[in-house]
Amino acid sequence: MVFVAILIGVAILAAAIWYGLKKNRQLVGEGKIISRKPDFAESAEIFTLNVPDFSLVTEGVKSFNYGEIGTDLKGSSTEQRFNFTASSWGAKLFRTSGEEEPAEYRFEFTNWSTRNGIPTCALQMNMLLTAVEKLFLSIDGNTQVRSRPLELKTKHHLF
Amino acid sequence: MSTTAIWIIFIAIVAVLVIGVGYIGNKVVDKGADAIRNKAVRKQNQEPPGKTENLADRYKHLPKE
Repeated sequence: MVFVAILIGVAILAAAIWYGLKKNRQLVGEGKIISRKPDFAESAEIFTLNVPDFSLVTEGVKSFNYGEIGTDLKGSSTEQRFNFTASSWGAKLFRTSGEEEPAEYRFEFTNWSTRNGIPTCALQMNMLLTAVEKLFLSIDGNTQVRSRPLELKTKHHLF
Repeated sequence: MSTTAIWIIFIAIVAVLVIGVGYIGNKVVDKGADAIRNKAVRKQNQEPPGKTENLADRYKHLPKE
């Protein structure tokens, strides 16, 4: 009886892993995510590109599929600051350069929850970052990017 | 006081101790790990920024839309 229960548990676990991998492959195939390092959330991405009109960035950010990514968008188009808020994670995108060209934008995750060191919403976070990267590439195909590690503060819940 | 009540109190005390010590222990470990990591990050961020990467290279494996 115990042996059967263990087999059932292993089968359920294997099914869950298979489904997760299938979903991951599907999203990669659709271009909604790309393969990233497991700790991709721990670095800020700084994009340098030529932006002929800031409204391209604003309209592009507004057009993300927030239902699928699972976030809300708040921000200021004039200041080029955008905040993305989900239930267990958040991110922000903002312009760090002035009026001069090329423009510089910084994207970073502001908070996220993890399980065994992996962000629990890694897929959705990956989708948002991929959407931002694709937006910048659509504006300037020669967009340059560099990563800067973030300082972290870990919080543990009581339960 | 009945034996059952004593056991319940004993289990409750142990549970509180386990949760409390576990929480405090995690906090200590987290603070230590964050301090070590953040010191290295601050040092790295003080250095001149490294080479930039062509963002398109992250997507070169995908078929053009």
